[in-house]
Amino acid sequence: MTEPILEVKNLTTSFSTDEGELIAVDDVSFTIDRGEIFGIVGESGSGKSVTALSILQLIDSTGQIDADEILFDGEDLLSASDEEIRQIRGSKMGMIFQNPSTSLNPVLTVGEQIAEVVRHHGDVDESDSFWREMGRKYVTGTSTQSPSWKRAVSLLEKVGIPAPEERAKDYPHQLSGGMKQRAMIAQALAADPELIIADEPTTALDVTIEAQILAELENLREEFDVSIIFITHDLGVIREICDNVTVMYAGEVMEAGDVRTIIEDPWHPYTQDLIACIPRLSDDREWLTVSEGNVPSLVNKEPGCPYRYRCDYEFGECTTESEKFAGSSANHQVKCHLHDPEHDEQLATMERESGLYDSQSTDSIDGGVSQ
Amino acid sequence: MGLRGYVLKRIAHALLVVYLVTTVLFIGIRSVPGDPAVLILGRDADPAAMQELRESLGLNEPIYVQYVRWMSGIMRGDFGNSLFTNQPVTDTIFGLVEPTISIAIVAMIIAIFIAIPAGIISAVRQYSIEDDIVTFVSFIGLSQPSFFTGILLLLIFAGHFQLLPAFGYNPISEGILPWLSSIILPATAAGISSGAVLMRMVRSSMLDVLNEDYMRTAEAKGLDKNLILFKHGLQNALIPVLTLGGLLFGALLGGTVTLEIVFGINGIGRLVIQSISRRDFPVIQGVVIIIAFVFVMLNLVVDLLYTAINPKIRY
Amino acid sequence: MSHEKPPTGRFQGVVQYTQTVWNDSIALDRIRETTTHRKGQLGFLTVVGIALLAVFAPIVAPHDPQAIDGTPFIAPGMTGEHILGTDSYGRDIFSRLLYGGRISLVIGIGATGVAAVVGTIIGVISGYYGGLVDDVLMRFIDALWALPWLVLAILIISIFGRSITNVILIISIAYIDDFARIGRGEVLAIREEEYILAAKNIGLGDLSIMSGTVLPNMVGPIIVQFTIFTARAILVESALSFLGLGVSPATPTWGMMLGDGRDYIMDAWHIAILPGLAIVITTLGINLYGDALRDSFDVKQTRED
Repeated sequence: MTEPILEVKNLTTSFSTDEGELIAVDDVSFTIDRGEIFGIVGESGSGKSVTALSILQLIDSTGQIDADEILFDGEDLLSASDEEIRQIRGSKMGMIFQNPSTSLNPVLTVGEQIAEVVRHHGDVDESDSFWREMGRKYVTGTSTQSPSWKRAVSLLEKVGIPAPEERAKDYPHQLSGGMKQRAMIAQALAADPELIIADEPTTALDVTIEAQILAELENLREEFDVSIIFITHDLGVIREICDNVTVMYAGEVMEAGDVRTIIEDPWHPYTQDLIACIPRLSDDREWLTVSEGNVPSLVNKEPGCPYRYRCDYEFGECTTESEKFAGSSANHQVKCHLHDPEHDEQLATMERESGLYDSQSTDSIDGGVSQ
Repeated sequence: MGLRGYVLKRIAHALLVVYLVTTVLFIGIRSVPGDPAVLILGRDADPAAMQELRESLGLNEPIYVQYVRWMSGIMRGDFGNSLFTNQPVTDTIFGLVEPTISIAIVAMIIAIFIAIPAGIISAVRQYSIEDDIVTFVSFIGLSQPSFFTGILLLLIFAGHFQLLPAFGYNPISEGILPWLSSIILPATAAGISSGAVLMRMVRSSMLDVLNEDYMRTAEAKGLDKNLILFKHGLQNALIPVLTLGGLLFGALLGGTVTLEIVFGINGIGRLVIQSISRRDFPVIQGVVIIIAFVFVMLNLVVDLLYTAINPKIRY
Repeated sequence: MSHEKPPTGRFQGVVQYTQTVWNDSIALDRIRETTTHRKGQLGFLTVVGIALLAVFAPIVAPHDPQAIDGTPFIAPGMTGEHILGTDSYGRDIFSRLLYGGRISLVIGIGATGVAAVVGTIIGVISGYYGGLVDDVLMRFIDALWALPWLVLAILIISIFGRSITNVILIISIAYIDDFARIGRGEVLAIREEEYILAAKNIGLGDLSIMSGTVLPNMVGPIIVQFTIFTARAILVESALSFLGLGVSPATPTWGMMLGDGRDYIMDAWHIAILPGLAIVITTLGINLYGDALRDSFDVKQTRED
C-alpha cells in the first residue's frame, strides 16, 4: 500500500462569536487512501462541512484551525503558506459544493468557469495573468478555439452533459439542477486533482438525479483515479458509494470504520439511530425512528459525550470524555463509554435490559416515545 | 419576444408615462382656481388684452378641443411661446440645455469614479479603518445638500484660493479647459452627493456578494484574490446597484438646478425658477415635459444596460 | 425580518392581541438595541437634541426670528446679544435657526409620514390581492416614480403657490412609490406563510389579516425607511426653500437662510454656513440613527424588485 493521500490528525476548528468560542470541529482524525471514497456523515451542525472546509482552509476569518497535522500527499497543509495553499486549491484538490445553483457564478458561462481552472492550474499554454483574465471577462471573451475552452468542453462531455459545445456557452441558470452539479464536478476535475471534496453534492437534487450523480462520481474515481471525500447527512447514500465512513455528531467523531461494518454492526447508539432512519423497501416497520432531544450548543461546550442528551443508554460515565475504543473490525473505532472494556459489566447490564443488538429498531421507537 | 420586442415595449411604456405626465399637467394647469388669463396678466389687467390672451391660448374653445390642440402641439415639439420673451419655448429650452447637461454628465462621472472604488474597498476591508473613514465621509455626503457643498467649494476654491471662476459658464465650443473649469465645482458638488448614495449601495451590494457561495467556489478553485473580486464579484455587485440608477438621476437633477443658482450658471434650472416667478406657464410646461421625457428615457437606458449586464435576463 | 410563526388562536381578538404583543416586543427590542453602540447613540442624541430645541424654540430663542433688531452682519461670537451673529437685515441668526428647525422637522416627518401611510397601504393592497389590482396600482406607482421631486415641485408650486401643505404634498408624492414597493415586497414575501393561511382558515377577513398579521411583519423595514426618508425630505425641503419654491418667505427656513446668505458669502460667510451646518448636523444625526436601526432590524440596503 502506498502512502495515504490525506491524513488529518486531531483537527479542531473553532470560531469566536459574541457568546463565546464555538467549537465546530472537535479533535477529528481520519486517513484517506488513494482511490478511496471516504464518507463523512452527520446531521446539520455536526461539523462535517467545516471539517472539509478546514482542510482547504476556506473558513472565514473568525475561524481558527488547529491540528497536529494535515498531511496531503505527504505535505503538511498547516505549515504551507497562503500561496502554497492557493496552488493546491483547485489543482490537487477539487471541491464540489452542496447547492449548484448558488455555487456557480451567475455571470460567467459554465465553460468559462471550468476553463479558468484549466488555465490557472493546468498545463495549457495560456496566460492567466490578472489583466488577461479581466480582458477575457469584460472585453474579448474566451475563444472557443483556445485549449482551455476545448478542455472545458471535453470535461463537460466526460461528466455526461449532452451537447457540451453548446452547454459550455450557457450561463448556470440556463441549466437544470442536475446539469449544474455535473458542471461543478467537471470544474472540480479540471486540473486533474488527486482528491475531490464533495460537500453534500446531491442534497439539493431529486432522487433520480442523485442516483445519476452518484454513478458519475464512481465512474470518475475509476477513470481519473481520484480520491473523494463524500459529505452527506444520508447514511443510505454512504452505503451506496463509500468505502470508509466517519460518523460525526456535534463536531466529534462518534464512530468510524469501513462502511459494511458500520452499517451491519453499528456500536454507537447514535449510528444505530441514524441507521434506523434509513427507510427500506423491505420495511415492516410502521414508524421510522425519531430521536428526540436537541443537539447541544457548540458554544462553551460541556465535556462528555455530546449525544448523551438524546441517547437511550445514557448513564453516569457519559459526562466524562470518552476515549476511542477498538471495534469489531480492523479499523472500526467507536467513542462511547458503553464499549469501554472496563465497563463490560455495565454494558452487559445495559444489553440485557434493552436488548441492544437484537431488536434495536422497535426498542428505539419505545425509547423515543417514552422520552 | 426578442430583444427588439423588449426594447419596443419599453419605449412604448416610457412614452405612455410621458403621455400620462403631460395629461396630468394639462389637467393640473386647467384646474388652477380662477381664470388663467387673470392668473397670467394679473387682476387689474386691461379686459381687451385679457380677451386677446384667451383667444391666443384657445381658452374659449371647449376643453377637449384645447386638449387635442395641446397634445398635437407637443407631439410636433411645439410648446407655444414664452409669455415673457415671446420666443418659442423649444428654442428657449434648447438654448439653455448645454450647461445643465454638462454639469449632470460630469457629476455622474465624478460620482462613479468616487463610489465604485470606495465602495469596493470599504466592503472588502469591512470594519477596517479605511471602511470607517469611507463610511463616515459617505454619511456626510448623504447628509449635506449639494448646494451647500457647492457654496463651501466656492468659498474655498474660488474665494480663498481664487483657483477657479466663481460664476458663469463657458460653452464647450470655447475649449475644453475653460468649459471644464467653469463646471468642475458645481459638478463636484453634485457628484459628491450622488457618489455618497452610490457608494453606500456598492458597499452593501459588494458585502452581499462576498458572502455568496460562488465566491467561496472561486476561492476553492485557487484563484488570485483580485481576480476573485473583479472577475467573479464586481459584475454581480453592480447588477443590483444599477436598478437604483433612476434614483440617482432624480437626485442629480435636483442638485444640478440648485447648483446652477449657486454658481450663477444660466441653464434650465435658472430658467425654471425665473419662469415660476414670472408665471410663464408655457415655459414651465415645456420644461416639465422635457424633464419627464429625459428622465423616462434615461431610466429606459438603465433598464437596457441592466439586461446587458445581467445574464439571467435574455430576450 | 424574522418570520417565526406567531401563535394563532381561535378568536380574532386573541390572534391580533398575541400578534401585536409578539411583534411590538421585538420591534421595541430592536429599537432599544440601537442605543447600545456609538453610531446609534450619536444619532439618537443629535436627533433628540435638535427636536427639543425645535419644540422649545419660543422659550429658547432670545429674539423674535423676524424682528429686525440688531446691526446687520454681526459675526458669530462678537456680541453676547447675538451669539451666532445677525443676517443681512440684522435679524438674530440663532433664533432664526431654532424656528427654521421646526419647519424642517415638521415637513420632514409630515411628508414622510403621509408617504409612509399612503404608500404602505397601496403596497399592501397591491401585494395582498395581486392580479389586476396589483397591475393597475403598480402602473400608477411607476408613473409616480417617473416624476422627480423637482418636477412635482415646479408643478405644484406654480399652480397652487407656496405653503407648508404644498411642500409636504410635493415630498410625500415623490416618496409614495418607495413605501409602496416596500409594502408590496414584504407582503409578497409572507403572503404564503402558514400563519397567514391559518388566519384565513379560521375565517378572518382580509382587513383583519392585513392589519393584524401583515402590517406588524413589516414594521422593521418601514421604520428604517421612514427614518432615512425623513432625512432626505429635510434635504429636499431645504433645496426647495433655497430655490424659493419652499414655504412662504415670511417663515424662516434653513434653505432660505442659506439662499439669502449666498449673496454675502465672500464677506459674511456665517450667514450661509450656519444654516448649512444646521441642515448637515440634523440629517447626519437622522441618517446615523437610521443606519443603526437598519443594522438592528437587519434590513438590506439594496433590493432587486
